[in-house]
Amino acid sequence: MASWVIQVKYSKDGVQMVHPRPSPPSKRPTATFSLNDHVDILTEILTRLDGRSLGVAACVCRAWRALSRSDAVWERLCFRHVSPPPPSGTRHVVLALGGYRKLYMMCVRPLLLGGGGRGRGEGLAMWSREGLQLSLSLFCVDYYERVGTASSPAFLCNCKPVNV
Amino acid sequence: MKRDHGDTSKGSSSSSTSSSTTSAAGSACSNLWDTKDPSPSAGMDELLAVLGYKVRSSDMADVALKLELLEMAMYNNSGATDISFATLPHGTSLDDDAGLSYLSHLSSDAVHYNPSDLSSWLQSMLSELNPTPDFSAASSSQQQPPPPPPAQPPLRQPFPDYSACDLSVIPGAAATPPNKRLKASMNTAAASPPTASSSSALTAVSPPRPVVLVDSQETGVRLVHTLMACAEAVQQENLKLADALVKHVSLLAASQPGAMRKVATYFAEALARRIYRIYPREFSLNSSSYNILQMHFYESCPYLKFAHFTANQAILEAFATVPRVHVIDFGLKEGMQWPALMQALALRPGGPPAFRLTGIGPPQPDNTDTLQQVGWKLAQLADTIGVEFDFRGFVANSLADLEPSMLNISSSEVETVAVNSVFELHKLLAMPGAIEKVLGSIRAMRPKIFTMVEQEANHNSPVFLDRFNEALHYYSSLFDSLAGCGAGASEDTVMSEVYLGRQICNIVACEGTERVERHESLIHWRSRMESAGFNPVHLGSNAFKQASMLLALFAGEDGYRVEENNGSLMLGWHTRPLIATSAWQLGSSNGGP
Repeated sequence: MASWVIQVKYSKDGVQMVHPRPSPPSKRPTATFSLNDHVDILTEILTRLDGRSLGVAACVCRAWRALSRSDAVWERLCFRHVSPPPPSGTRHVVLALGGYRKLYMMCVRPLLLGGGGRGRGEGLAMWSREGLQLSLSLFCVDYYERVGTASSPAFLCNCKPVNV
Repeated sequence: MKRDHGDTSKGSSSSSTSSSTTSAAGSACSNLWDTKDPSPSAGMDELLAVLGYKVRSSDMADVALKLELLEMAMYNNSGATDISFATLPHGTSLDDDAGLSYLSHLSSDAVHYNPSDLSSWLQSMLSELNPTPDFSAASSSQQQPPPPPPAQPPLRQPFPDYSACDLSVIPGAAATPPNKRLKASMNTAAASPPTASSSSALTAVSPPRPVVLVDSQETGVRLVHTLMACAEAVQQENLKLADALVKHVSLLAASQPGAMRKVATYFAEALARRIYRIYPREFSLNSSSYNILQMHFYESCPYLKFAHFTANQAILEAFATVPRVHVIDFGLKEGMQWPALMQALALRPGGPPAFRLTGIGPPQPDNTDTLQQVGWKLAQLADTIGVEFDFRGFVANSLADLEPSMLNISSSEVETVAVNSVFELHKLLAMPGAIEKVLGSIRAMRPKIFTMVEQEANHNSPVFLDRFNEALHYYSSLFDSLAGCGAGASEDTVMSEVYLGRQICNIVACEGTERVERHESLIHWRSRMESAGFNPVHLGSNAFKQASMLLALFAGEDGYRVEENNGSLMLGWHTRPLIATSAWQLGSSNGGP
């Protein structure tokens, strides 16, 4: 069984994963360390990656895909540089609205990149509490727009509109 | 065939009728009459000289043309007939919409030069009829290659080339290259290629204005000038001229790229509607199609988002610690403002309050209950994020029909009230007394905060031309920003332009109670609010920061500017503020629970 070699690059923008590739079949004795057996370590590594690398990681294998898509990882990514930690009810709200991965892709990332996708890399210099609030609000608006096409229920609400 | 000019006061009219026949006779006459002038056509001088007019034979055709023009000018005040001057040397036919009602001044203050020198007399007459034109709109038409020569008489052709006259600006409008006979007094401005129309050559409206000689090749500038000329014609009830100018605008606009073309097209359409008094019912700003258009406007540019987020921030700060809140929305539409507020309330430190929303909307023509549908959607969202929610909808034709008692507002110990109005208050200015009544109602609701978003423009002047000019600049900036958003020709952008076009149509084409888009700038609203007993609330720096970050999401962010203005926030495109958010609380002057 080939082992996977992860190359991790440290830079000021954070930790990025570079081209995982299988190592050649080991000629050394079988005291290899298989990362897939240590999910907690793998998770720790994944939580330090940036968004693009998480996407890449999700393409590696099914185990990695499951881990990379978990909300915990993306939650850490979204709130990474927010100095006062977000309010406690945030997780409930975000999960109800579609999850952290969606939040990141739809609201956090555009705000970080700025200007509709311009800008290189995902610098987190501008992230702040206001940015977090704004992205949450936009996420909520987006949910409302998505769900909005649902049909009305069979019964009407008990308060009928008053015709003035 | 030349017309019979029998009843003109110019005695030479008979000779002009016969000029075509006498030119041959002239040479014959020259043999009969021993003239001093050795040229063969000098004989005509003598024939007319008998009658007391001195005309050179070489000028005969010129004189004939001018006589025709002068006659047309003098006898066609209301432009009832369509005169086809097929006999004109260059074959143009005159547009009967000369609207030449400025002739009245001829009778009073025209200076007549020596009439015996017929040629220069005619020149002086014609130049009286064309005093220095006020608009460079004439030169605005220079860029257009002229339409093919009017072989088709029914086609309403622009005016003939007046370059023979002593006009100092208008280069002339020949649909064909200027006839060399008329080139005698071609002026400098006529050096540019002949144009499609000098209908504005006859925009010699009284009182005469200083000449603006525009030599630039910028059709954009000319387009604007033509639009303004048309608006002025409309204001002066000169509808024939306005009609001609509107068509000219459409022609010019086709050559413009991008935003300018669209703005010009919408304004031209609105002007045409005003001229012909057509205003379709579907353009009503209360219809559900307008709501759909507004949704596209919401998506394509940040103005509405800015409005919602800044108003929400003010409301949020007012609701900081209270357990029950009640928001009254004067224009619920699709309820796009409230998900963000509900989310912010859900994450409020201390937990969410109980949120009650009262939405007000116009009656729908097909009697669908849009308010209830929106309420239901919001209720679903509230359930998802865990906020206690209650909704009530009110259908009202106008906000002035509301009575605060209908809204079932609990006293202030139980719930805190906020009133919100986004682009709704200006509609009340169409009916006298309505705005005061509504402001009084708001006071009676005793809100903790009243948030108001309005367009930052003055589109409510009683003078049509001022309104038109203001609207032209305002919507030009708006269309520029739409184009700058970089969305290209996406559906959102196109629909947003239609949305703005509806507003333009209302501002330009309607009057009286139908004209509901009566925008006024923040200064006016401030004085109105303060005289109604409200005090301003400063929108905090949080709102400013949030607004700035919001703009970063839009591609054209470099052009957008958030400004703070005495506690209110304005969003604008480059240097022009376009919408303004302000917040108000009850003053203590009429206070008392």
